[in-house]
Amino acid sequence: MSVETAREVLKIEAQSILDLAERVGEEFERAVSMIFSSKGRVILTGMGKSGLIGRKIVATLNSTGTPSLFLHPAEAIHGDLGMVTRDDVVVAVSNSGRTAEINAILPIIKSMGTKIIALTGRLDSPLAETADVVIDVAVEREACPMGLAPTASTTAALAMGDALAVALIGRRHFNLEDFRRFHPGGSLGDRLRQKVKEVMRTGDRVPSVRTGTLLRDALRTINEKTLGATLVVDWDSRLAGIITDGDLRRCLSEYDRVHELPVEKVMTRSPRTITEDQSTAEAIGIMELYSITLLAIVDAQKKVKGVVHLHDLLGGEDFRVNEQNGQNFTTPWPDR
Amino acid sequence: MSRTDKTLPPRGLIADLITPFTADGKLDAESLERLIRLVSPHIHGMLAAGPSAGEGYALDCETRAEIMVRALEALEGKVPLFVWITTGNIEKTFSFLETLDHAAGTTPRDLLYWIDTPLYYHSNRGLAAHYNEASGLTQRRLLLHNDPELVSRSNKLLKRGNIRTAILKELVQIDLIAGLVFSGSMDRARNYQKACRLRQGFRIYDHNEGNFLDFPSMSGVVSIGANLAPKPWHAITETSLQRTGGDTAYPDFLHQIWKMGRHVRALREAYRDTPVPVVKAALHKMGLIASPRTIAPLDDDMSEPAKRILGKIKELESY
Repeated sequence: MSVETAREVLKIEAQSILDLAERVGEEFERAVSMIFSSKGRVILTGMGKSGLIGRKIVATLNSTGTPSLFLHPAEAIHGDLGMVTRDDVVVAVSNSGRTAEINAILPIIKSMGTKIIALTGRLDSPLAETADVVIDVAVEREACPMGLAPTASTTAALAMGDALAVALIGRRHFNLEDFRRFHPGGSLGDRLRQKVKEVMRTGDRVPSVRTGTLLRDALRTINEKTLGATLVVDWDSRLAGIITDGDLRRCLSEYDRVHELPVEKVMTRSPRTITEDQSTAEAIGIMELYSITLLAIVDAQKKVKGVVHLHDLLGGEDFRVNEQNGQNFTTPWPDR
Repeated sequence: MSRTDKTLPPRGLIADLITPFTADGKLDAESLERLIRLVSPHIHGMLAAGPSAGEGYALDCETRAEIMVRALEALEGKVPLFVWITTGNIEKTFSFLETLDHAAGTTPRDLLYWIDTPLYYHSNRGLAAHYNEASGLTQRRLLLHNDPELVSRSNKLLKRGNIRTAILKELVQIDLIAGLVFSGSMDRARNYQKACRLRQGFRIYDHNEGNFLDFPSMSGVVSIGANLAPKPWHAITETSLQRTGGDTAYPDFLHQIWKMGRHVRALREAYRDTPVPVVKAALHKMGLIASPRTIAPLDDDMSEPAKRILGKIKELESY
């Protein structure tokens, strides 16, 4: 008997999501565009079970690169509305669209010029009438007797929240590294808490040539060390510059007999550096900021202690997956 | 696009009105109006001359028209009325539709809907063409009624008791058709839901009160129990459809609904096997209708079940 009931409940809930898949359309597209183009955060609000669904959607959005937070409608009336700004987008979750606490705060939010997206099952409700965009999450049947607890309707709202988050990932070109950055509990999180000295390459693994070396020999070093670049150091092991693939391309277009050139003619002087006691997270930040993949590690006298490559910071295997996908390491919010 | 279509049938509790008769078998208009006035404040719509509670299968066109006119009057435009138009054959059904449409006069479109059980007189084949033809006879919307049990009682030798899902998919494209009153298995309910999902606002009412109490359809329920206990049925429907939102003292309210639901189920058990005679006998005992007479002759004495029902209603009155 219980198993039969369970089957029925699961079929009803599954059906409710399949129905949404058929109905989702223009309004959903508008909601994604509204969130994507907003300069603020996404603020979820809802009471009771819808509130719990709202909280889960917040967690999913945050994990996938869309800054968001939860606003409890009852607390909002007592001052928490101060967290809402004109630049935010408020997503209100209410199946009936008649939740008194939500409808009490909507006019105030609206008067601030903040955009409102409704996730509701009632297109004729006060919530739907007030919202700028209405995503229909109506279900044909609930799976709990007498509506004692919303079941299929909350499942539908939850699934629609996931759909929003995933659609936003698509818009942002959010990639593997971005995702891991927001999950510091994982192995990447451990890696980001390390110091640079714990992951840097030292000794023979550092590609470096002396000032005065011919480019022919520098190229050999670049090829041997397979990091796509070599450092240039003076007689006292102080960093003088760096030669990267980009520098080589530039010099090929400028000079005819490049092999005979001294490295000083080709190298980039004053390359970006970091110290060995800084964190790997800072190293990634610098790489992101200047769109580079190799950092020299120097001490206070600019003496070279080692190098660190993006592979070393993210883990080689993960990075290979990323390269296969043809994705670049990009900032999580390229349009902000 | 407007988010609210006023011509859509209502969501909620649709009372499946019984048809009161006098002792000599004529329509008891006085009891009918009394019952409607008592029930109407608690419902979102009413089905008159329906095939089961209303014993519509045995009512001629004039009687159905009279019931319709009196019901519209008693309802005073507060909630819409659904009238069953089905007969044993196509020509007669069309003729009923025309006569009833004429009798309805200028009643607003959103206050009167037709209900038709197509398989009672027509096979699945050619149903879309049938309703396209019906569209020319009325400006009002129509709800389909799927009831394999009722169809099995018709004189026609039809292969199927249910509207085929593929046929339903065609029918929901027809503007005339605004919803479906459904009796049948939950699996079929889900298939029908799939067939109708592209038509926004299409209503699928449960005609099986048990299904609604267990897994409520978000369109609502067509309930014979609403004749006896309209207020509790109203409360349960409102909660099931989550129409009350957050405007109630939630935990206490839900506890009350839970208890009320148990009593409503018990009440339903008391009339489930022979609903019309038992409900009529109970209403008669309550002094709401003059006679418990039904169209089909009764072999059993209904006074005992009626007494049980009165006891259950008394328990429900405490809410």
